[in-house]
Amino acid sequence: MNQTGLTFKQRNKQNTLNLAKWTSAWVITLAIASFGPHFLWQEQAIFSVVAILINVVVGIMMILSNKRQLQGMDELQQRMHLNAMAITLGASLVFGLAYSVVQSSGLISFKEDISHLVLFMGLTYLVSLLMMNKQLNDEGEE
Amino acid sequence: MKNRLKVLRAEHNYTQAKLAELLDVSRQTINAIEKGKFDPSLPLAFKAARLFNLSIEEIFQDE
Repeated sequence: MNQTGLTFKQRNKQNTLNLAKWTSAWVITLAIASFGPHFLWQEQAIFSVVAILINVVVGIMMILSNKRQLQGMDELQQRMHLNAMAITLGASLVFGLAYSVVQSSGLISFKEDISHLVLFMGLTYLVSLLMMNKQLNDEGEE
Repeated sequence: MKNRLKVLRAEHNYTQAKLAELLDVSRQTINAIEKGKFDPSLPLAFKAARLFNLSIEEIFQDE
């Protein structure tokens, strides 16, 4: 237990729930900012600007919540997430630039989108964490 | 780094979960330290030493 009066497990759970709330809010505001101009406010620019501003503010809250969650983890978990971030950053840089070279040389004609990069980063992060967990874990309590 | 955490835990009749709670870390971390897969930081080593009323060297030994 620390100065918050919560155990490690309780604190971790609370931080994860908080992050889940802000992430959900960010996804919803992103969807509104993306689809609103066409389906909700018929391309009126002022509404689009407000929707994007709200999305950015909620996004900043999500980033802070993510930072809080990482700080609330123990040292092993922090190290695992740091490694996963390093792998994700490196893989995105290496494969992103390699893809860019391949595309500019005309070898492929696939039309990429920013969402593909987000998906790639998310999957790389997830796989990295799962592999590290597998390495460490967890033949159960002895 | 070798350590006697598992032995000390058994002597005090703690489960990994109980020891994790007392040291304010996850059970996975206790498990990784016991198996020698993860070396704890100095603050965590001090915390363990205080808990078992021993010096750090009596719990953790350099290989």
